[in-house]
Amino acid sequence: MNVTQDLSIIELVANASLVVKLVLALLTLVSVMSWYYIFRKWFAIRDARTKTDKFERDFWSGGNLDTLYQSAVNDRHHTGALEHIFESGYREFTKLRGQRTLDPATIIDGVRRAMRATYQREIDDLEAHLSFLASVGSVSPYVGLFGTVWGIMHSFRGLASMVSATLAAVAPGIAEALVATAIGLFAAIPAVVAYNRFVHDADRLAVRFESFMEEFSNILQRQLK
Amino acid sequence: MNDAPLAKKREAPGRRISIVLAVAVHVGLAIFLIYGVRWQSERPEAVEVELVQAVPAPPAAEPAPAEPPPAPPQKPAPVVEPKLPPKVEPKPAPAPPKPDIAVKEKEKPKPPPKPEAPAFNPMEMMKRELTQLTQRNTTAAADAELARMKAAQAAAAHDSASKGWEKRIAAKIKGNIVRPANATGNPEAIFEITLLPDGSLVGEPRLKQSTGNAALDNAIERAIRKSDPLPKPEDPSVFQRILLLKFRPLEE
Repeated sequence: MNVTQDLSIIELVANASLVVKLVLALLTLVSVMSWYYIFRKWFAIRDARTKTDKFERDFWSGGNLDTLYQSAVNDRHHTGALEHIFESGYREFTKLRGQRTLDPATIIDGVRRAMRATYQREIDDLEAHLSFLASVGSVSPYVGLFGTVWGIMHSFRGLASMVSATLAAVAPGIAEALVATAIGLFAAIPAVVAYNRFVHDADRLAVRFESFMEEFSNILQRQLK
Repeated sequence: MNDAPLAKKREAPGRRISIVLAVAVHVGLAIFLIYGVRWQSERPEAVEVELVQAVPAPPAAEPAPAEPPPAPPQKPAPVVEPKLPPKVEPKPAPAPPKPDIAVKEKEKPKPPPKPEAPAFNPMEMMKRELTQLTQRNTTAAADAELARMKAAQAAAAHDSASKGWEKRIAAKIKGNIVRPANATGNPEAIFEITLLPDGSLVGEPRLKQSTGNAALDNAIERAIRKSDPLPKPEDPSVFQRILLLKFRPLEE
């Protein structure tokens, strides 16, 4: 037994069995994808928050609703979720108000439905891909564990063919098997943290959207009288 | 009429930068793992090297003063330094002979630029021839000295390897000793054991010298049996069938 063995990561991976190597490759791929979504969601949520802040400031600074609507329509590709909700609600309001036969309660109901539809779409957009992060967070430790168990089985089978069973004979095998668990955890931990963080952020944004919808309905109702 | 859904048209922000960042995170991790993490399972055995160097030092002092000191281009190296003969032998460097190995090592970088000047001087050449001739006589003696030292060194290496092996055995056994509660002081016990080449124990360990505490003796004997098989020597030639092991189990 070579006791002075150099256990660097590359050697551990290179000596691992095929199944362990496949598990490592899979976990690396999953980890790259989860980090991609983490960064994307991070940028998306930060962007949504700044745009919501900006629109709330504009809205409550007491500007004319018609000019706000015009700027929202003209600049549709650069506006945030809250502005979309406002836009669809106000569009529905102007359309329904033109029909004199409708009573105010029906108009407000229609506006609310229009806003809710947009709200659902926006929230769906904000929460897209979060389920992927959740899956990575919950599954990749198990995948890593599978690689580890397989590697340890492998190294114990090798031990059976040896005359004198020493710890030095199995230790490198076990170490290389444990690399799989390490990579699995490396993929899982950021995914879980990011998932919790993003779900929380999306929930807070959803609450802000909902309260805005309620307040905006009140404002429109007052305009109808 | 533009009632079409609004959200579909938008492109999610930061798609490319996210790919770049995700890859960057993994490249950073890979670099950290490859260069930052290195588990060395090597035992530090620098002590052995020191032992080998300590043995030839005293005989090295004897031949050095015997050489003619006034001659500048001299070959003191092969005598004093058995470890680096190929480096020093071809160069008749004008280094003054020093018996001390440590000092010699430091002075070696200085001489090489010097010999260029005397190389064209016929008087110097003659002188050098002369000293080389006189030295040839001394080298015969020095060769014998060298052989003797090499043998001594080999013996020392063998000795230290076998010491290292005994030390490992003792360390393994010591780890298994369960100290009895009433043991005090720093008594020494000597056990004799018989080994097979694979390190396994043959027969019972024999107590040669007791610690004076029967419980402690038993504890050591149990530890020896528990440590079976004992570590094998790294160099198989140092293996001995019968070993005398000294223990000071209470020594910290």
